[in-house]
Order: sequence, then structure tokens, then C-alpha cells
Amino acid sequence: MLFGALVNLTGPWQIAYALGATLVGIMIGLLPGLSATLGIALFTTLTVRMQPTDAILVLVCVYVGAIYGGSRTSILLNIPGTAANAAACLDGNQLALQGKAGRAMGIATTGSVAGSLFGVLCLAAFTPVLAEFALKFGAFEFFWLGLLGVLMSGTLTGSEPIKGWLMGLLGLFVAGIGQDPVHAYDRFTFGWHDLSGGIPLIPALVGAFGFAEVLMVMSAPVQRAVTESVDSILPKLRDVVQYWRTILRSGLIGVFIGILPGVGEDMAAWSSYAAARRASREREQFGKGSVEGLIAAETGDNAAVPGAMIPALALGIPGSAPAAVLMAAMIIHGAQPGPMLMTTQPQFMFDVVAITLVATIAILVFGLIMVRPILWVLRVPREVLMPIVFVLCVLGAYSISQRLFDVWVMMGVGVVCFFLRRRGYPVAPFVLGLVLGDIVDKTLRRGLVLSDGSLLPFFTRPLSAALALIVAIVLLSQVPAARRLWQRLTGSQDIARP
Amino acid sequence: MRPGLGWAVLGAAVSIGAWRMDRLESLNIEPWSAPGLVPGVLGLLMLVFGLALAIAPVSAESDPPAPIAWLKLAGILGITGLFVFVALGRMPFAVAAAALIFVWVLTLSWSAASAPRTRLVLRVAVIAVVAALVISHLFQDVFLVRLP
Repeated sequence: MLFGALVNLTGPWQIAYALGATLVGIMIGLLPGLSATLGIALFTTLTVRMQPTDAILVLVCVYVGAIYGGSRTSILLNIPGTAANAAACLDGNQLALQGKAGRAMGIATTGSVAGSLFGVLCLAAFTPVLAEFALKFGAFEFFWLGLLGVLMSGTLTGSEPIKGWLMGLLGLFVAGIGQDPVHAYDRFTFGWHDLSGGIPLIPALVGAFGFAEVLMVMSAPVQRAVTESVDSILPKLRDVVQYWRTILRSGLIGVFIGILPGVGEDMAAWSSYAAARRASREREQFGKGSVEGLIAAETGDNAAVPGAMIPALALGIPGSAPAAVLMAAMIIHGAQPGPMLMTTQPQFMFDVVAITLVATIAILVFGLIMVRPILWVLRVPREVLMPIVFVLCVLGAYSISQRLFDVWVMMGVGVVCFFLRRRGYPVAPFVLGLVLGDIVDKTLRRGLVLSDGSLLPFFTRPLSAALALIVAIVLLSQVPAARRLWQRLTGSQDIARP
Repeated sequence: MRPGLGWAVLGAAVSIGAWRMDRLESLNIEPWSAPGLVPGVLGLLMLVFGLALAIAPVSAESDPPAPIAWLKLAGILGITGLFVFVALGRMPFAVAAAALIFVWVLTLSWSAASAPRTRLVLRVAVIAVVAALVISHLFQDVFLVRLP
């Protein structure tokens, strides 16, 4: 099935789509402010009329390309192109300052390709296993999983978890506006007919990540100059051989963190970086231009990309914000991610594996031949770029349903998210809430109906109890009194990001 | 205002709205599947977390937000608002988009421009027209999207 999927991707159009989408993804990643989530959301609207496999090919290539492309900006500007590349700033920019920008980009390519390949293997191996295991899940377990995704995302993005949780709750609430999925009763529509269909997901995401970002970029300080000198960008086999343990460890960490609902690529990069520093013989070099540090960060975040697709495909619970949008796009194109996927559409999983493999090959190609030409994007003044991005946001919001109402939603969500982000509220939990709102709503009510109003099954079924315990730990770990008690009992210290 | 109070007010409003929502008893539905149940719970959680945020000591990690250039922000919101609420649907999309890009780029480049102003206006006009035409063509003819 995997071979068949790969063969289907060797047509001239498919190769053109893969290369074009990866290139655009790299450019989106390169530009600080434009995120993988925005790229996928915009391209979801553009690919609505394409064949489902071709559309998913474009979206996965944009996703993989954006996460890879963001490392360029980290190295050259010391500004992460996407949140996932923040850890790469530490050593990548130091290498650039030492006149080794090209070498740093070669290392980033090595780490990204290795991490992505490792993630693809795990995607192929673990998705069927997890999907089969998830057949044991009922409404009670899916409720906890949905809630866990939103809470984890809230805990790990931003500096104050409570703000992340509030954004997650807001996302869950906004997802519930419109006709309720059980009785078709209008909720919070205030008689506005357009709202009966709910807040449209993709326009809301384009607003949250696109228009809000345009406003953020336009109100930020002036751009910094790009490093002009770039030495050899060829990735070296020696790096793979010398740091194979780091690559393997970071790949494992990346995939594991990718699988955790709602955590995402940035945490995978930080965790891989921290683990590499702890295990390294040259740890004093970390933060001063360590090759190992850069490899660890880039392997971790790229391995998390296929990792985040595993729960999205097997459970219908995405591992990160970009994976949430990708999952929504898959649903638009007729796929039904969840435990039944391997029973009803097994070929789709193999298609996604093959597509991610093709995207990985594409970033290797562009990493080798297109580093210097692509860098011109960074020199486009933001005064010119941002109005164009705004026009794309407007068309992206409009194109799915051809309603001006969707454009208004994009504008409204964008303005609200802009002000919230300035106050330190992260947007990723809001996205997870929007995507998971339907699952949380339906499963809580279905579970209560099944148990005749009793909350006991939510806590007494073995799997449900385990998930409830994890949710409780996630919440309690942020309560200072509970943390102090835990530290007193175990004698452990607080763990902070490096 | 303490951060968090706004959330508490929103949470309370959502809870009240959910409480007052029809429970569809006339349709004889299961009471636990009432449409207001989940929004009610979410509203209560927002209220609790909002109050917790309001009474929590201000985190040392959270830097105060950088000051906003209100005039610039108002200008961008004004231009984008005019584009979305007035121009869209009333004139050809390419014309509206070109006008938006022209006004936006020119306004923000005007004071910092080192080149002669006439050249700047011409350059911005070319950028606006080319960008608007390329985007319109791409969406309409390549991606087969109907433009507003």
C-alpha cells in the first residue's frame, strides 16, 4: 500500500505540487511572523477544488517546508521564522556570527531531514497500532483526550499557563457558537442567520494567525539586516556519523512530544536541545555555536511534524496547532481521522506517510540548491509584504464558502487575537479549542447520557481514569502550593526551558 | 483593570446565557444532552480561571507589552476596514486590492523615503498593480476561486 501511494506521487503534476508547495512553505517559514499554521490554513482554501491526495500533498509540503524554512531566519537574523525554530537561534546565530552561516544551514538541513525521516518511520509504524488501541476508547476517553489537548497546549505555550487555558476555553466556547451538533439548536447566535452555521474554522484560523500577525509585525520594531555572507551550505555526512546518537535521541523526543495532544514542535525542539546539552561531552559549547545543539533542535522540531500527525490520524486529536489545521483540511477533503480510519480508509494513512516522505525529500533538494536564491524573500520590506499577506488572508477566508461573512470573521478574530497576544495570551490553545470543541461538546454530553447523568464512568473506567489523572497532573503542576508540596516530597527542582 | 476580570465577566455572561438557554423539555430530550450544558461549564471555568488570574500576583516573567503606535494601528485598521466593508463586492477585486496595497505601502513608506517622492509613488503604484493582478489571476484562473 505504501509503495502504491509512493508510485501515485510520481506523476509530473504531483512532483510539481510537492516542489512548489515546499518552496512556498520554506518562504512562509523564512518570514518572521508567517507561521506554518497560517500557511496550511491559507492553502486549505486554495486546494479545496483539488483531488484530495493532491491537496493533502500540498498542505503537508507547506507544513514540512515552513518548519524547515524557519531555521534560516533563526540562523541569519536570530529571530525564529516560526515558534518551532526558537531553539535553533541559540547556536545557529552564533555560528552565523562566526562566519559559518552556510555551515549552520547545512547542519539545519541535516537535522531537519534526519528528524523528518525518523518521524515518517514512526508515523508508518505507530499510527495503525494507536488506531487499533483507540478502538477501546469511548465517549468518556475522547472527552478527556480533547480536554487534555487544549490544556497541554495552554500549559506549554506562553509564559503563564492560566492565560493559555483561558485561550483554550475561549476556543472551545467559540467552536460551540451556532447550531449545536446534537439537537440543531441555535446557541449564542442572537438571531443572526449567518452565525447559525457556526464560526467558520478556516477563516477564524486565518484571522488568528494571519491578520493578527500582520498587525503584530506592523507594530513591531524595525527589521534587522540580513547576514550577507553565506559559506558552503552542503550538509555533511560527517555530522550524521558524528552525532548519530543526538539525532536518534532528538528524533525520539520529537516524535514523542509530537504525539502528545496539543504540545507541538517548539516544545519538541526545546526538549531535544535540553536533552542533547545534558548528554553532550561538549556542553560548554552550547549557546556559543554548537553543531550538536543546532542538530538536536532541528531534528527535534522536524521529527515532531510527523509525530503530531500520528494522534491526528489515529485519534482525531491533533498533536499541534498546525496539525489541527491539517486535520481540519483532511476532514474537508473527505477523510475521517480517528480510530476507524485504519478500518474504513487504510490507504489514506499510507498516502500521508508517502506524502510526508516526498516532502522530506523536497526540503533536502531545496536545502541543497535553493538557499541563496530564497534569501531574497527576507529583503522584501514588510511595508510591501504585509498588505499582500492581508489580501491573501481576505481571499483565503472568502474562497471556501464565498461569503463576505467569513471575511468579517477573519477580521474580527484577527483584531481580538492581536490585542490578546499583546497581553501575553498564546493563540495555539485557541486553535486547539476551535478544532476540538466539537469533540469535547459531543463526547461530554454523550457520556453523561450513557451514564444517566453520573460522572463516575469518567473517573472509574481504566483508560478514562488514567487520562483524568494526567489532566489533573497538568492542572495541579501549575498550582504553586501543589508544586511546592511535590518538590518537598521528591526533593526535585523546577525545570525551566534552557 | 486587573487582568482576568474581563474573562470573569465573559465567563459569567456565557454561563448566564447557557442557563437561560432552552432545555428542550418539550421535545422530551435527555436532560444531560441539553444544548446549554457545555457552554455553561465552559463559562464557569472561564469565570474561575479569570478570577484566579485577577487575584494572582503579577508574574515576574510577563513583560509589559510594548507601547502601541496607535495612529499607525488606527490607520491600518481604517484602510483594511474600508477595503473589507466598503470596497469588497462594490468594485472589481483587482482594483480594490491595488488601491489597498497602494495606499498602505505609500502611507508607511512616505516619511522614511530617501528616494524622490515622485519615484516612490511610481514604484509603489507598479508594485500595487502587479501584486493585485498576479493575486487575482492566481486565485481566479489557477485555483478556480470566485473573487468577491
